[in-house]
Amino acid sequence: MSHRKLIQFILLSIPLLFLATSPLYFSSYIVSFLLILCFYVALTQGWNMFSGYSGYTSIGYVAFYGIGMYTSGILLGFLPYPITILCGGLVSGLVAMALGPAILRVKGIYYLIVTFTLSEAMKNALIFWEDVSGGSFGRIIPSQDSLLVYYLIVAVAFVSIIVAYAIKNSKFGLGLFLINDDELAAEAMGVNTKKYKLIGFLVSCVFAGVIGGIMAGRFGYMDPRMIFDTAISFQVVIMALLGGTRQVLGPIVGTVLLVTLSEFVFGGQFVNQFVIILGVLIILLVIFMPMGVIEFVKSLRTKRFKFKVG
Amino acid sequence: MRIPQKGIRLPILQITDIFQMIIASLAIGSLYALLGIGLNVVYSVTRLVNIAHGDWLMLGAYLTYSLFSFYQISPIISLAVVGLVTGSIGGLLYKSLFSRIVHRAKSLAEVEVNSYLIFFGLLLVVENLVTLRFSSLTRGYSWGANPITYFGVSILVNRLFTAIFSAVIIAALVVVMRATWLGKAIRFAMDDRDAAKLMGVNVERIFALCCTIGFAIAGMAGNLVGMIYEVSPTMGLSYTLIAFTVIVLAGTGNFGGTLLAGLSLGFAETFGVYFTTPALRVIIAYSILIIVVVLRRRGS
Amino acid sequence: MYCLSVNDLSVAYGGAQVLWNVSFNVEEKGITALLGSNGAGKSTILKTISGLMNPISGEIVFEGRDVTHLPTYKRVENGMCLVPEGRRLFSSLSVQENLEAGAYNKRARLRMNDTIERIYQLFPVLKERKKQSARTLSGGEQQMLAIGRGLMSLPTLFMLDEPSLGLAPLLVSRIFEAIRRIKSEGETVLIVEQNVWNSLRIADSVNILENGRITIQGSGEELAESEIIKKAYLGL
Repeated sequence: MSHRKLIQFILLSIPLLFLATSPLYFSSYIVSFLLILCFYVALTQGWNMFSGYSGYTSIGYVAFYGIGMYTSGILLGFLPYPITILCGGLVSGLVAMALGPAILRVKGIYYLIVTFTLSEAMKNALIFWEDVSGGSFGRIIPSQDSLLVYYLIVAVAFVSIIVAYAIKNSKFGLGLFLINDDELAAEAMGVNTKKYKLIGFLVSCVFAGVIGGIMAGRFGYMDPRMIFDTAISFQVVIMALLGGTRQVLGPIVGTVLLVTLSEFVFGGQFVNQFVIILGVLIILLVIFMPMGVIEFVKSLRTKRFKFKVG
Repeated sequence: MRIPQKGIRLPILQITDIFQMIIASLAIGSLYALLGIGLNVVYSVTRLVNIAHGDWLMLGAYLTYSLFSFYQISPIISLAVVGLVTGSIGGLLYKSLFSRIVHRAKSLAEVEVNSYLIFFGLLLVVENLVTLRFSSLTRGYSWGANPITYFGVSILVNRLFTAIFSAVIIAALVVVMRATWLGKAIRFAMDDRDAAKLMGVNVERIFALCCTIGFAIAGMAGNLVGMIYEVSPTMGLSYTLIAFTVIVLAGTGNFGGTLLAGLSLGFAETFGVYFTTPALRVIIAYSILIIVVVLRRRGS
Repeated sequence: MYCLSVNDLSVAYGGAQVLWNVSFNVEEKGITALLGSNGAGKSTILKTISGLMNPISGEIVFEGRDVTHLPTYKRVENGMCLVPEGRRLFSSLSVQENLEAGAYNKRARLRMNDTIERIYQLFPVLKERKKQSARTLSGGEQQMLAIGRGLMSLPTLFMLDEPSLGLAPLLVSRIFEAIRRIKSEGETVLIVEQNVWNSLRIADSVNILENGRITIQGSGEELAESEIIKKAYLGL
């Protein structure tokens, strides 16, 4: 293993070790916080590996999370937990395969509109489909051992980081970045944009489905409004943009910053004042740091260097 | 527990019923057209993606509500005030925020991407500021809820006013666009902004003006909406979606077409609601939107 | 006093410097040419002079006034007009509407109808097609429309960016003929071109641009005789 890879491996294993052993010496409040943190890291990473890399910004990611959770939740009565999680991912993937070719035709704001509307439509469809969802009142499902849920979330968070890293450094990832820069040019260069977009979209949605499948075991209860919460879609986008969508570290940095801020300053509620700050943050971000925190910090360093040389 | 009606029913329609529905369609359709035009003015000319369009509407609605509840100012008079306030917000925001991304961007696509993020931030700020001030409960007031009846067909005064006002605004815009030098300048800026500059058009001022007009229209639409429906801090998004549906149908830059698109949508909704249940209606509306967007943008 | 004076202009684009300390003058009532091959920076100069791009240093003086940081529309109002590369016509508008667009500035607006008649005399084919949409015109016709549109603004300085680009040789001579006529009516013209042969024949004063720097300056006749030019640019 090369020098650099060794360092990266160590950097990754330390937090992993920390998270794995946390339940032993931290209170359940902290462990719960870490669970939320890993949840958002996984979700944001899953979003970023397609939407961030390719520029197909979606604000409806929560829909696939919801599909995964509902699938898993319903099946929990009949099948063991690990299987229901996989089913969550599977159904999510199937829906992505079905809808992908249609919605990936559009881009920019239209993609934005479509993804948002899709998410809302699914929410309303589930509210309407009362036999499955219990309508507005929701439905009770068997909850799972919270420690198990915790470890599964930690695991999927790390898997998402590894997958995001793998994609970024592969030919496939390069293709996505090219699509982001100029889709026509990418097509002209021989990139099969349709295929790449669909695969990226699929992978991203499967992640959301798996995460949803895992989280089905956490609450013991599901209702459409709680799960298909547009706030989750928005938060994921903000966290990815904050950190920087072109890095693997980006979503992690963005997530840690925001979740920590929300938890310790605002008691974990995305309360009105917090959201206002979030809004102002985004505006400042776009104007001063459009590439995200990490790139901004990098650019500060190079500016300082230039200044020294004169 | 209420068991909702499901499925589709096909009752027998009377002629007067049909006329009634046509009138209702025109009323709601003109409001939709107004929504669409407010958004179109901003997007087609400046390429800024105003996803907070419905929130300026919401501000207008709340402003009207406050003026009406606390100072008994009639919503008709407050229209002017609301238009001025939201319009100025548009102009100011352009000068302070939007102009930066317009100038910095190297392509129109870049303007779009950066703009929807900024508008998203604004959306969060505005909605939550209003929630802090007014709480998230829905509010409402009643104005003009009395019907006028002609030949057995009746329409509520507030809806009639909405339709007339919308029609006037849209007509005024179309006239300005076709017949005045200002309108021509806007069309040049829409077509090719560098070329417009070379003609002597002060494109900066045009953009600021378009934002002012677009936001003012949104606010005034909110004023009208408040007369008819309830208001809540999160009402903005559904109106934004409607506005986008209208401009997708009409095509950007096509102001006359926006009227037609709005009216069509009004018809689709009114007749659609009649045949199905409310819950299904939202799903159908969203599905139509997705289908329209996907089909319209094929190959784009 | 020169109509236009460009002093020590340096321009960067996309993080890379494109023009280095470019200086030249444009005399009144004559044709000044800026020649060079592709990538030499010719379009950048005109864009900077007209205000579409900003220089990192240097100044642009028009009729004695410093216009370096003036916004484009003000420069147009003062009488600087650019017919841009690739014409940039308003494709959704007709021939007549494009011409009227050219008269947008307040000075020109008052005399719009007279000016349009003059343009139709200069380019009769435009009159035939006046209701047609600009995008239905052929390349040569579009160039004529672009030139006509520029003249509609009643410019004191008339600038053209590669007017012969993409046109067949016959049309190229027609365009250059038109430019010569425009000059003979008293206009000051600044033209940027790759087509050296035709440009040398009509230009009074010539500047050669190579890799962002002015390398040779002189009158049109001098350079047409010059051995260097003949070898480098005319392949003789």
